[in-house]
Amino acid sequence: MEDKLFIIAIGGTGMRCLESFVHLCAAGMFDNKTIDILTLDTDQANGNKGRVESLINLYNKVKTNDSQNIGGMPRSDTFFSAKLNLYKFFTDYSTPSRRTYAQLSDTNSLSQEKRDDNRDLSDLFFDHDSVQQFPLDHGYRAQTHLGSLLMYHGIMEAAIKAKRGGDDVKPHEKELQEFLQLLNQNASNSRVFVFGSVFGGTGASSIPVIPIALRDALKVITAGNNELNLNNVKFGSTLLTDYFTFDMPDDKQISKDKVVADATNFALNSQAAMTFYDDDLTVRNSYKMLYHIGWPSSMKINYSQDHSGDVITGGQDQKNSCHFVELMSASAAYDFFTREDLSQAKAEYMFRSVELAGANNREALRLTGASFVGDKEGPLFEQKLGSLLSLSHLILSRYKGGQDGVCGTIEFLKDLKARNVDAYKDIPDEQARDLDAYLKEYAYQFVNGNLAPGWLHQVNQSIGQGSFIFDPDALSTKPDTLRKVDPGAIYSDDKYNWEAGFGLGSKADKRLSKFIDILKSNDSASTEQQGNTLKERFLGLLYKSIAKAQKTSHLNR
Amino acid sequence: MGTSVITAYVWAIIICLVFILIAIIIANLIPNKPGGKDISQRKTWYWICFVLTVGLSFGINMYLASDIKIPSKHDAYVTATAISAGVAAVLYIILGVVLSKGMKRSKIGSWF
Repeated sequence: MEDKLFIIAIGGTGMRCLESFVHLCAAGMFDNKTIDILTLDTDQANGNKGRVESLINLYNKVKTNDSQNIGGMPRSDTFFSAKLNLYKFFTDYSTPSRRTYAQLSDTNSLSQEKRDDNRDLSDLFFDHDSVQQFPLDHGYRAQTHLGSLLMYHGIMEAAIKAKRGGDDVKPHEKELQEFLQLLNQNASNSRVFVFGSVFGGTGASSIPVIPIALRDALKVITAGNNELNLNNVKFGSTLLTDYFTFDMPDDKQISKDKVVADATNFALNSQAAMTFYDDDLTVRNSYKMLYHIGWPSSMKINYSQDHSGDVITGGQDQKNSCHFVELMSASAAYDFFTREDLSQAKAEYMFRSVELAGANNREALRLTGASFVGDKEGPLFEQKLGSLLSLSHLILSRYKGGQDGVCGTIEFLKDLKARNVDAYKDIPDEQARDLDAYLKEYAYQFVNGNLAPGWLHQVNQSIGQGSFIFDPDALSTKPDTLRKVDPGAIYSDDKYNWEAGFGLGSKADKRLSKFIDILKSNDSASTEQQGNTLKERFLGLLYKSIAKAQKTSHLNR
Repeated sequence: MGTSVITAYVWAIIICLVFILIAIIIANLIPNKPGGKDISQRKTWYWICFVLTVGLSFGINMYLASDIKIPSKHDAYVTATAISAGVAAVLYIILGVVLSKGMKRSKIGSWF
C-alpha cells in the first residue's frame, strides 16, 4: 500500500521551500498524489507564510472550480496533478499576556515560592533581560533553545484545547487537530517531510522537536489511545544551512526589539546545528532521512538590499525572494516521497554535490535536472519544469498575459475558437484569469512596464553566473527579451526544444505553429487520468501538446 | 480552328484545380500566429486565388476564342468562356467549403 504523504512547513524559510514544492506539483512532478500540508509558524502575519498559503489556494482554484471538492482529485500526466490540502497553524502570541516568554511563563496561581523557583529555572536557561523579553510574534529570532520549548508547548497547548472542545477553540487549533487526526488515520503508513532551516529561528527550533511534539499531541487528542509509531510514520527533513544574509541591526533597533537575529552568526548556528543533528539520539531515532543542503558563503544573497530601514524580524514585510536551495529542498521532498525503502532504524544523511563551471571552478554552478533529483529522474524533472515554463511564455509573452490588463489565457482560448477548437470556449473568464495569475507567480509579469520576477526567475537569479537547465533568454531580466521569447526554445539542451513546423517565417513562428497543429490534433485526446472537468481537460491538453511538441518527450509519441 | 466548347470547360476546371492546390500550399506555408493574423492571411490568399481562377479561366479562354474565325463557333466559345468561368468560380468555392469543413482542424480550416 502506498504511503500517505504529509508536508510540514515551518518558519519563513520553510514557507519558501513549500513554495518551491507547490510549483513542482504544478509542473506535474507528483502525479496521482494527495499531499496534506501543514504550515506552522509563530508569526501569523508572516509575509512568506501568507504568500505560500495564497499560492496553494490559487493552485486549487486553477486545478478545479468545484466548491464541494476544493482541489479536485489527484491526476496524472497533466499540470497541477497532485491534490493539495492545506492546514494552517500558528502558535498564538497575539494577546497581551502571551507576547513574551516572561509573560507566557508567568504563573499567578502558584505560591510565591514556586513562582520564584520557576523564575530561577527560566533564568538559568534564558537570559532574563533579552531572551525572555522579546515579542514572540515575529518568530524565535535565532533563539532555538527557547524556540524548541515554546513550539512543543504551543502544539501541546493547542492539542489540549482542541481535545477539550468548546467555543474558545480557535480555527487554527481545529486545523491542527484535523491534521493530527489525518495522521492518526494513516498511522500505519505515512511519510512526513519537514521544511525549515537549521540556522534561523522557528524552523531550527522546531525540526528537532516536531516528531515528538506531534506524537505527544496525538496522544492527547486520542485520549492516550494512540500515539505515533515513528517506524510507521516516517519523518524526513532538510538540514538547510545558511544561504542568505541581511544587514546588522543598529543599536536603536536592538534596544527596541530586545533580540534581533544576527546574520553574522548564521554560519556558527549552522555549524552548531550540524553537530547537534549528528549527535542527538532523539533526532536520529525520530527521522528516517535528513538531507544536507548548503550554499557557498561567497554567493549569499543579502535580503536587506530589497528594502531600507530596520532589519525585518518578521510580519507581513518578510517576503524574501525565492532561492535555489529552496528548490533543492523541494527536490529532497521528492526523493523522500518516491524512495522505495525507508525501513532503516536511524536517520540516514544524504547530500549531492553540484558541478562548478566558472573560472577557477568558483561561483558558477552548472545545474541540470540530475543536480536536483539524480540521473534517472533528471530528464523528467527538466521536461516537466520546462513544460510549465513553455506554457508560461506562451500565455504571458505570446498572448501578452504578462502585461497589465491583458489575460493571456482568454486570448488563447479565443484564438483556439477561431481555429475551430471550440470545446473549451465555455471556460469562464474568471478561471482563465486564475491560470494567468498562477503562471505569473511561476514565471514573471510586467508591472508598469517593469519586470516583476516570479518564482523560477528568482531561483535563476539566485544562482548568479551559473547555468540552470534553461537558455538564459528564457529567464532573462530584460522585458524586451521576454516579450519576444520563444516558448519552444527555452532549453539550453536543444533536444527538449520544440520541433519546428514546415512553412514561412522565423523558426520561433514555425515552432509555435507546429505546437498549435499538435494541440488541434490532440483536442479530444484527454484521458480519464487527466481529469473530467472542462478545465482539467484543457490543462491535460496543454500538457500533452507541449510534451509532444518537444523533440524528446517522456510521453509516448 | 476546330476548338470545341468543351475545351473552355476543361481549361476552367484545370485552372480551378491548380489554384485550389496553390491556395492549399499557401495556407500550409503560413504559420499559425497568436491573435489569428494567420487566419485572415489564409482567407485573403484563398480569395486572391479565387479571383485569379476566374480571371485566368476567362482570360485564357478569351485568348483561345480570338483564334476562332468562324463567327458562330466564336460566339459559342465566348458564351462557353463566360459560363466556364462561372463554373470554375462555383467549383472553386464548393471545393474550398468542402475541404475547409472536412478538415476543420487543418490550416485550410481557416478558409471558412
